[in-house]
This record gives sequence, C-alpha cells and structure tokens, in this order.
Amino acid sequence: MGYGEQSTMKLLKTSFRTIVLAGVFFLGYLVLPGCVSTTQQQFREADTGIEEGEVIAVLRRKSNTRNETEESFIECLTNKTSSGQGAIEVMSDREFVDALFPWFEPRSAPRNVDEMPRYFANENIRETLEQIDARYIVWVNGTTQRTDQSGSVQCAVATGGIPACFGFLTWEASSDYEATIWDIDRGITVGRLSAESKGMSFVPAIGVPIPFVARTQASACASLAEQLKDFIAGKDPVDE
Amino acid sequence: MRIRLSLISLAISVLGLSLLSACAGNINVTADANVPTPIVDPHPFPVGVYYSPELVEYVHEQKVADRGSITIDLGKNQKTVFDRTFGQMFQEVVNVESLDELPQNVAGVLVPSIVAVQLMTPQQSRNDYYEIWIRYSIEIILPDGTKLDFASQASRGGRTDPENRESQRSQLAWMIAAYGKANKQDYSSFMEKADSALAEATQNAYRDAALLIVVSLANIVDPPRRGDPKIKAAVREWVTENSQP
Repeated sequence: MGYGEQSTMKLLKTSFRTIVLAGVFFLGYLVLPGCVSTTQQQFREADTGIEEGEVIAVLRRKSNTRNETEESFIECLTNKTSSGQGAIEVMSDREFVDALFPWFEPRSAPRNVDEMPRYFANENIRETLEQIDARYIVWVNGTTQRTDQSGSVQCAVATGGIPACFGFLTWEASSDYEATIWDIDRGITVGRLSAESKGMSFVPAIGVPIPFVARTQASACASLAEQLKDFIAGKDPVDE
Repeated sequence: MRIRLSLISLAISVLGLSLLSACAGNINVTADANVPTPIVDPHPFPVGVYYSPELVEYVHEQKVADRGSITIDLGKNQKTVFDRTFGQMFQEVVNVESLDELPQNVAGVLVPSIVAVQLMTPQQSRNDYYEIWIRYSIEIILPDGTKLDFASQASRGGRTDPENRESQRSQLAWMIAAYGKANKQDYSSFMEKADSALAEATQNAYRDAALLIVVSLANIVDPPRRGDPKIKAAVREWVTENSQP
C-alpha cells in the first residue's frame, strides 16, 4: 500500500470515528432526557365552551422589542392542541395574522387585552373574524431561557487520530409561558393559564460526551396544550 | 482501489468544505414577497405608480465580520409588495412606464424608492435576532408635475405657528422605515440557517412597509394607528382632498 493510500485510509478512519462520536452525541441528545419539573396555574374568569365548526386562534404576543415568544413554541402548542384527546380546531398564528393583515403585525397588534374592543370595532376586522368562525383568541407570552451554566467539555484529537472529549457541562433552563384567552363573541377575557418548566441539563464526557438534555420548552408546551383543551371545553382541574 | 479512495476523500473534502461554507461563507438571501392583501376599504379615486429601474434592480450587499458578505435581492419583490398594498388602497392603480408622460386621470403618481438598508446579525448585536431595516421614500407627483410637499401639507393640517412654518424644511418624500426580524432559535435545529432567517426577517420588513403605508392611508378610526403622525396627517390630507365628490 502506497503512502497516499495509507494517509487516505487514516483520514477515512478518523472521519469514521468523528462521525461515530457525533452520532453518539446526537443519539444521547434525542434519547436521554434531563430532569424537568412543571408547575401549572389556571385562573377562570368566565365559563367557556366551543361549538362544532368554531376555531380558536393561538397567537404569540408580538412586539418589535427583543424578547418575543419563539415561533417553535407556538407551532408546538398549535399542533398539540389540535391533536389527541379533546382536540380543538386551531387556526395557526400565521393564518390568522395573514387573514387580518395588517392589524395583528408586531407594530400594530393590540398591546394588551384592554385594546381588543377597539380592534373589534373595525368593521373589516369583525367581518373577517365572522368569516373564519373564530371563537377564542389565545395570546401566548413567554420565553425559554438558560438561567445558569457551569463547567465545560473540551474535545481534541488524541494520538492516533482518535477524537475524544472530556469534562462536565451543566446548565439550567426555564420555560415560562402564559396564555390569556379572549372570547371574541362576548368581548371579554375568560381566563389565564400558565406553565412553568424548569430543568437541569448535563453533559458528562469521558471520551464520548453523553448529553442529558432537559426539554423544558416541550414540557411547558405539552402542559399548556392539555390545560387549554380542558379550559376551552369548560372543564376545571377540580372536575377531574 | 486508488481511484475509489481518492473519490471518497474528495467527497469528504467537499462535504467538509460545504459545512465550513455554511458556517462562515457568503450568504445569498432569496425572500418571497409574502404580503397579504390588507383588509381595508379602498379610496374612491385612482392613482398611478412608477417603479424605477433602481428600485426593481436593487440588490443589497453588506460585509459582516466572520461571515463574509450577505447579499439580498430586494428589487425583485418590490412590485409585488407595492402592487398588493396600493391595489387594495385605491379604486384603481395605473402602472406608469415613464415620468415624462404623467397620466392626467389620477390623483397622483406614487414613486417608491429604497433609500437605505441595514442588516444586523446575532453575532453583531449579541442577541437572538437577525434584523433588517429598509428605509423607503415615496414621492407623490401630482398631475401638473409638482411633487406633493409633505411639510407644507402637514402645516396646513393644524400646525399654523408662523415661526415653525418658516423653519420647516420642504419635505418632498414620505419616508417609511420598515423593520423585520427573525429569531435565530427558530432556525438552529442542527446548523444555524442564516439565509432562511434573513429571508424571514426580510419578509417581515416587507410586511411592515405595507403596514406603514396602510395605516397612513386608511380612512379609519379604529384600531389605533401607530406611525409618524406628521407624515400621516399630510398623506391623509391629500387623500381627503381627492376623496371629495
């Protein structure tokens, strides 16, 4: 075997080991969950119910300031609320803001629920809402943030071209979301729901890094979706 | 055997290079003009609109540290953005081919242009957002060939202080500062997709431009308008004058 082939074989082996290492890391990321605890709260201000054919719109509070609810969270909440047991037909944020353009854009959207009556006073907005048969608007506010991080993992290529990682990395994440539910027909706020998930993720690495990631956002999403379905259907936590 | 190994190593090199270029190479952004039709009542008079070659061929290129350069073809979407917005705001929109021959059966010819563009990446701003600002100017050329003076129109709309009027500069264009942003967290499942995030930020800026035009032109009481009150007053006065039967 010539020198060229030897170096190519070496390159292939190193690449293969790197791919295996990356594969183990991502498999761990997908499979191994970290610890997550979720707290949920509910305040009901009026009774609720939904008829066949009526939809709810799940919207994220928008502003041109920096901390805005992630689109991925709204997509998750929309998907989970519109599927499974007690599913409700949900109009996505994008469909709703497109249908009512330009009155629910970051610059023009209501800044709080007190402004909503002025929006429904507009004839074009009212007619569009009637056409799409929207019964409730669910305003979602909140974000996921890393609150604390310590340690480190360092990776290097050791003798023989074997990549290896050593160290211990840990961080805390907090997903804090609140949903305010507005009844379009009655023009009132009917309740507020919240889900707060906290979790610690860690990545020990002795040769191969194995991540245990706390999926706080997914947990908060699942919790809020279940609460939302029960709330709209008129069920209270004490009923169960 | 030698040829096969060479091909495999070449493939690995190409893969590596493409991964590296995704991290730090030049970025070309293609954004769609995703501007819905606004839900407003049109004004009962026709206008013309003129798209200059500078506008429809506008390409923004900006050097960004650690990124190379970012190029956005803004020009190709401008006609769609303005046609959809003006098309719903007025009874009829006449496409004007040249400003040398102004149509006489319209209240004015709208001439949009891009004055400045600025981009900001999360690496530059140290936050989670790709941001873009597009500054437009819109001139309104009246059938007699004069340009609508927004400063004097605004002064007629209630600002009558003579000292202020003397110090007022003539303002021959309606300025619109459109802003769009996209959260990098929504584009970072495996590798950060900067081009897709910048495309979304650009689409949001187009929507913001359409919104600013609508709130300035629409004849509504509710919902609350948000924008530049001085320019809004001037544009609304022009609208009111032309809406008289």
